[in-house]
Formats: sequence, structure tokens, C-alpha cells
Amino acid sequence: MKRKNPLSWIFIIVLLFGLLGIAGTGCAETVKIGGTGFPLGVVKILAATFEKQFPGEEIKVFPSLGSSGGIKALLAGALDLGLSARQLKEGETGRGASAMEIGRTPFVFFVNNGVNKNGLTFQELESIYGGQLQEWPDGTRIRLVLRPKGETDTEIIRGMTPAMDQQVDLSFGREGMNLAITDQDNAAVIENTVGGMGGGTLAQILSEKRQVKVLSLNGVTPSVEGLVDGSYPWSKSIFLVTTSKISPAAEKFKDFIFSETGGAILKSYGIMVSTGSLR
Amino acid sequence: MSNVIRTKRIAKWFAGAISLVMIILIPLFFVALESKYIKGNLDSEALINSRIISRLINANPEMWKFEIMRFEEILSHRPTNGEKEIRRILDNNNKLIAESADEISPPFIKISHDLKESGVTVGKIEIYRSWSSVLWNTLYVSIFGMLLAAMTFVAIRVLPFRALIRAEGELKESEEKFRALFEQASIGVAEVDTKTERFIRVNQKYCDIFGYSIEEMMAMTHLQITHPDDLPLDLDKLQEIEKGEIRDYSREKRHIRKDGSIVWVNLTISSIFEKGVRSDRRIAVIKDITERKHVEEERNQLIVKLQQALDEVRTLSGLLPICSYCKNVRDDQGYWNEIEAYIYKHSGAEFTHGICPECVKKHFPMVDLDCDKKTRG
Repeated sequence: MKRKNPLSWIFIIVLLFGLLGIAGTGCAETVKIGGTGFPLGVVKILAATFEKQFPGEEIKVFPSLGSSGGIKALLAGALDLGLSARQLKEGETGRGASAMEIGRTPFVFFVNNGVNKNGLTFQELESIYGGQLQEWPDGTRIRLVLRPKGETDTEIIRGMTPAMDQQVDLSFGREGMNLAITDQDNAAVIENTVGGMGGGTLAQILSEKRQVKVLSLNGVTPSVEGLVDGSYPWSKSIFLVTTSKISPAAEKFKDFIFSETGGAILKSYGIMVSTGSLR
Repeated sequence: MSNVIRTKRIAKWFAGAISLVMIILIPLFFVALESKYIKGNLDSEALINSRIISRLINANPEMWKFEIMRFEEILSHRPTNGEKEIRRILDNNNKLIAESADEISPPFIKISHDLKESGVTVGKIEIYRSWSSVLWNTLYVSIFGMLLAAMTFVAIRVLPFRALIRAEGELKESEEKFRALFEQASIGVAEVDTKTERFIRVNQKYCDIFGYSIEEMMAMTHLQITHPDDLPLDLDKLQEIEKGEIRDYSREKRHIRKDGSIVWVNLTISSIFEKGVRSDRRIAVIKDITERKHVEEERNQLIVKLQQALDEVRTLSGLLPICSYCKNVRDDQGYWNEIEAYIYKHSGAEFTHGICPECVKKHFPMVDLDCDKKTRG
């Protein structure tokens, strides 16, 4: 029997490792993304488009964790990409997190489709939160849905008018109020409750195809254009949070989000993409 | 020891025991109740929170541990009474996930509920509340309990005895009056045991009537001093009383005194009834009627004599059989008596003898009755 040359053995081994390496590179690495809830609908659309464009790539979008939860999960290595509605805190940046604004979406008030109302004035809004106004014009009870005190939504509402902060406090002091923990719960409760009303983002309503009525505020209809020209100033930002340990696949998805394709998708769902991004 | 003193002592111990029980049991009961109430309260809170949190966990089973802010928001809600608490969410490794903590001081009451994900325990919620408020409240309740116990003590120990002491005073006064009445009565009074017929109690007068001392009398039965001739009727009457046929009887009877003389008494014997039931005692009331009896006897004798005399007077006033010639009178026995002797015997009238003028003329014609008149004239 003819003995093989030792070099040939080395060649075979190197060849096998090479093949394994190619195979490894070709295996789809799942990118885990999660955090604040309102952009999840858009992110899911982005993920689907990305997966279609890059077969083999897989994006897993987790249900709403909240901005803080998303950042914590990212820093703990449980996520590859985090979604936040706020800027990072010092402690978070100190632990290696960095955030890039994807864009902003109008923060809107919306009501159940059965409510015969198309817009609110600030006075009405204050009265609704303060409890002085409890019925819609048709006599239906106004069923205000609150968000947790620490949520960005609550902070935005507090800052809308000088009196609003106190009115929001009054609303939290009223017993038996609806409190939605997640953005999705918030939208679902309003969608399914007669006379339901609350705050949220245009991007969520559009991307999740919520059957609700978006109200104009002080006569101004919420829109991306309104954000651009400043006629509608109330918005909510979407930040993509990463760390230096970002995986190539996550980096790739990040690039996609900030690509022109990504930007177009974001715009179509009520998000004003941020300037200074890759686009 | 008087009944009141004994009752007072018993009441003191009873009231003390009740007060002590109140002092101990009221705070204990309060602590148990409060503890149960708080635990029930905390249990409800933990259960409600665990359900809300479990719903979030089920919505995001892989990443729920990062939803800290939301959990903190849920945990931050406190009961409407503003009780301070520490609320924690821990995973299965007892790693703290979220916490909402007020400043509370130990010791703590703790309630824990499992957090489930698809029916599997993935963590727990713990709620702590301080015992200090319970302890303070228990202190207040203890003070209240002590006040209540003191009031109860007074209510049981003191108040009823005012009435009791008053009643006892009245009873004592009544007894004293009765004793004085009994001891100083001018009639003899004795209490007799119906079974032994012995004296239970006798007054001095009773003893005096029979000439015995109280001690001697107490060692005797009333039958021993009864005159043997009067005993059978006594026994019959006593039997009737014992059978319930009569309640009392009175009679005049004879007794034999210590010196052997006979003493007549008016006796009344009555059953003693207590609460409507005949007791084993009788009361005997006697009055010495010996003198009256003697007087009566003398009177009777006198009456007899008078009767006899009257009988005789009646004979004189009736038809007297008298001899038409010698004027002798025949008595009831058929003897002929001289009329003077007869009248003397039946009326006590004595006769003086003389001669009437007609008889003088008739029997002594020689006597000049006119001359005699002239001489005197």
C-alpha cells in the first residue's frame, strides 16, 4: 500500500478548515434588536425588507422593552441593537453605549374610531387630563389612557403647555384610570375602547396599521411635513443604540437602516429621517 | 367571713382575671387581626402585581428582565392609604430585577408571589411592609385595652358591691331588728327542727317560761317538756302539719317546768316556708297563761258557787211547798224544814222573833197594847 505524503495530509486538513470557515461565514447570524416600542412596527418592516435584500440574514425584533430596557439588554449583550426614544444617560455612555438618531415622528393624540372629534385645542387637552372635561360632544365618556410617569410620552405631554404638567399630575391622581405599560398596549386599548383617547406616535399608528383617528392639535394636523416646517413641533425621536462590540451582521443592518432604502421606508411611515446620517 | 367579704374576694379575683385577659388578649387579638389584614392586603397586592408583571413577562419572555423601568412603574403604585413598602422583582437566582423602595424600618412583614411565564416560575415579587406601624397601633390598642380592663375591673369589682353592701346593711339591720324582736319579745319564740324535734333557736322568754337555760333548752326536744296528757294531741297536730294538711295550729296546753311545776301556755306552731316551699323548721310561739288559768279556775269556782246560790235563789222564788198549819217547808229531798231554817238556808236571811199585835190580842189578851203605846207616848 502506497503511503500518503505528510504534506498531502496537511493540505487536506487546511482544505477542510477552509471549507468549514467558508461554511461558517455563510451561516446566517441572527441580529437581535429591541427597545422602545413605538418604532417596532417600522423596524419589523425594515427587517423584512433587509432579509429579502440579503438572503441568509436574519433580524429578530423583540417586543417592547422600553428605551431603558433596550439599552440595558444591549449593554448586557442580550441584544445587538437597541432602540431608544431618548438620548443616552451618562451611565449608559460610560458603559460603552452610543446612540445615533434615526429620525423623529410626530407625537400625536389619537382616539377610538367611534369618537366624533377630529381635533383638540390645548384648553380641551388640559381639561381632559385635569378631569374637568369627561365627555365627548356626543356624550360618550372620554376614556383617557395614561402612560407610566417615567415614559417619554408622559414627559412630552407635560411639556406641551405650562398648565399641562399639573393637569397630568391630576390625571395620575384620579382613581380607576387606564394605564398602558407598553406602546402596543396603549394603541390597542384606544383602538378597542369606546371613547378611548391617548398619546402616541404617528409612526406606530401607520406602521402597525392601527384603526384609530389621529387628532389635529390646535388646528394643526400632525405630519412629517409639519415637523419639517415646524408647524407641528411635538415629536418623538428614535435612536439606534450600539456598542463597540457590534457584530458585522448588526453593523450591516444598521447601515441598511441609515441607507436610502431604509430612509424611504422610514419616511413612508411618518418618520422624518435625521440629517447627518449615512443617507 | 361574711358572704360579702367572700363574694368581694371572689369578684376581685374574677375581675382581675378578666382584666388581665383583656390586657393580654386585646393586643394579641389586634396583632393577629392586623397581621392577618396586612398579610391579606399584601397578598392581594402581590397577586395583582404578579399577574400584571407575568403578563409583561409572557409578552417578552426572553427579554423581560430588562423591562426594569416598566416594572418599577408597576411597583411604584402604593395602596391608597399611602402605606410605605418595599417591592421587589427577583429572578429565579434571586437576582434583583426591579425595585421600588420606600424607607421603612424593620421588622418587616413580607409576602411573596411567584412570577410565571407560560405556567413556569421565572421569578417572584416580594412586598415588604414595616411592622412598626402595627407595633405602634398595638401600643395604642394596649393602652385602650388597659383602660377598658380597668373600667371592667371597676364595673365588676366595685359597682355591684355598692348595691350589695347597701343590701347587706339593710339585711343586717333587718336581722338585728328581728333578733331584737326575737330576743326581747315578751312571748316565747322557738325554732324547731322538724326531723329531730329539737330546738334550733329559742329566745330567753321561752327558756324563762320553762325554767331552763338556753343551753339546756337547746339540748332538749319540745316533746320532753310537754305534759304527758297533752302530748297525744300535739303529736296528732304535728303530723297534720307534716302531711301538709294544716299550716299551723294553736292550743292551750300544759308543760312541765324544770322544777316540776305545771305551766300553762298558749301555743301556736307554724311551718316555716321558704320561697313557697315548706322548710324543715317550725316556729313555736308560746305565751305563759298559767296565771290566767288560775284566775280562770278561781272564776269558774266562783261561778259555780254563784250558780249554786242563784239556783237556790231561784228555788225560793219558785213554788214553796209549805204546810198550811205548821208552815214548815218541804225541801227538794222531801224533808220538812222550819220555814225560818229553810229561808235562812236558801237566802241567808236571818229571823228575829217577835209577836204581832194581832197575835198578842189573840194569844195574850191580858196584855194592854194601848197602855204600852200611852207610856211610850
